[in-house]
Amino acid sequence: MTNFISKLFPKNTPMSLLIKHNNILKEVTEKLEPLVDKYIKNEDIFELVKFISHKESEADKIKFELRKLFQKKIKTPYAATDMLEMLHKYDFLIDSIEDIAKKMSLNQIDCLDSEVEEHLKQLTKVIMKSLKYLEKMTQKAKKAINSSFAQKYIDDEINESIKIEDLEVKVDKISLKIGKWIYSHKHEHNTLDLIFLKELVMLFVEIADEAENTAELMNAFFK
Amino acid sequence: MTILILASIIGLAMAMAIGANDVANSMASAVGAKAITIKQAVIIAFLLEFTGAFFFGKMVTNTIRKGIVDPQLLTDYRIMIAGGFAALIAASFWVFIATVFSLPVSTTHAIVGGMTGFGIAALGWGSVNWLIIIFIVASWFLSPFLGGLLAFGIFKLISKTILHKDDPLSAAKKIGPSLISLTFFIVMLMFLKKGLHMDNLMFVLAISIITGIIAGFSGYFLLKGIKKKKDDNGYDAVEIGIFRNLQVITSCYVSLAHGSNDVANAIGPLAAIFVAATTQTVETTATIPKFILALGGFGIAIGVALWGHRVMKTVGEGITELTNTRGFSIDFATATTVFLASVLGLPVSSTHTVVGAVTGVGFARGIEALNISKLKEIALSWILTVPLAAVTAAYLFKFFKVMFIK
Repeated sequence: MTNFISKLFPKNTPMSLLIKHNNILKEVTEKLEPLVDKYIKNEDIFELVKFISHKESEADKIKFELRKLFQKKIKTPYAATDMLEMLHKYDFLIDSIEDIAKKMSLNQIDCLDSEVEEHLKQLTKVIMKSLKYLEKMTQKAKKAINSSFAQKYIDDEINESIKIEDLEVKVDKISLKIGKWIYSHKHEHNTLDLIFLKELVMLFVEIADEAENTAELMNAFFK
Repeated sequence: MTILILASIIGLAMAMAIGANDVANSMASAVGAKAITIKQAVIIAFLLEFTGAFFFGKMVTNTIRKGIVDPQLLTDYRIMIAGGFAALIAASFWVFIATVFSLPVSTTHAIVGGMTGFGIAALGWGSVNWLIIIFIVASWFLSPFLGGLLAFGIFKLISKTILHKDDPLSAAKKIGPSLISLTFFIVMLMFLKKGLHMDNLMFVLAISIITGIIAGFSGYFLLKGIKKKKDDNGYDAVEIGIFRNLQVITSCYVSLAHGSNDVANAIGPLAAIFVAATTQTVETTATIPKFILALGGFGIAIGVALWGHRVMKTVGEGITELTNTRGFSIDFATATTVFLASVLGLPVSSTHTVVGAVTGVGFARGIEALNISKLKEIALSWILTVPLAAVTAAYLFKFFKVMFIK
């Protein structure tokens, strides 16, 4: 037995679905560190890759549900296009983590020394930190809506996005170090392995860039 | 005797349908915002709907009984009995259909449609009080618009003066007593004017102002004691500590007012049948026996207890986005609009006003997602209620006339 008042409210709100999607991003982000560790140690990563792929398809279902929600006429206190763009960005982040996992399962680089291993681990940690701030921003977005967009919450969101921007700069610096390492070892190691490592690092960099873009979009979202 | 038993059964069924469907509408925002549990809502509705119907339902019942079709134009009391049955069955049928399809139709409008259809079929177009019909058509636009406007304003006020402040709890402690005062003023005003039908406006205003002032002062001291919890930045204390309690009061009032107004929809025609059958005349001055009001009140209360909780469960689980500030804005706007309309003599539906109030809060950026596409469906059901109930009642009346009178 339904009631018309319930019919006026969709079962899920766009933000609650985005948070659900973001929770999946959180789950796959937590797997980044063990994934990189195992890869460096040349251990089996099959289970981790399987887990991330499974989560990616779960995220796709939520993405589909959120898009479907906007096919009906829904009145929201923000622009639907902003919400859909944000969803697209979150999805890109999950896809990129899946790409990293799948790429790692294709080839094992044998030439990594302790210096580049340390850079890779550091890069992973910074990326995870950046995504953690993004997760916080998403959770706070719900609070901002509940407070009817109180300035206090909007300021909080801006502060978090500044932290993500700073981390993006850090990621760039680390990626440059790895880049230098790659070119300084071009005569010593297998070229394919070096290209593979460069591509892998580029995927990490893309995640940091997209996290920064998502944070900026989130700030614009409430204005 | 058979006629009275049959009419009582149909009247009781209509009252139960009102209890099952309408009550959930009036309590929806309170249950949705978790101001009250489903069990509490059922108990409040059971007690207050009955109280409202039994003690304050008489005046509205008289309007339904003789306000739409002039009984003095009827020469045969059997026509009144047949017409009462036709109106009651037609209205119950459309309320039932609306319940099945979850359409928020007004039971008031359904019964007015039923009585109008009977009037036209029995005595022609001139026998109907068309002013009431014009008011009803106006109320399709007026009640949701006024409810929406008021809810928009109240929520914006709460946002600006409380939610947007750095310390919402301190702000609420300053603004809260005024809101409490205003709530009690409105509730008392409506109770005296609509519930007790007091005509002395100055007296009613004086009592309401005094009640508001006392409530405001009491509220000031009660709010003083509210403290933030450890991880709360003040919002939870505002929502739960202040607005949740205010919403309990407005919900109780909405329930009482609903019982006093909507019992007439079930027992108005029943009262007409009773008077016609017992006096064998079309009496306009006969008083409505208390047992008929009790039957209506009992029916509403039973409807709430048997099916209302199921509807409320859907509401409680379905609406997760309503916080107490939003719920209070909706309830307050609904109660005030219904009161203002009743002062102006407009037969507005609280169901229609709730829809407007929810939309108003949505437009004030208070609700994250509002299904605008449903509004069209809802508006269509409002417009169709009166003609459909009228046509059904007219055909039923013709049938009863052929079968039992001529």
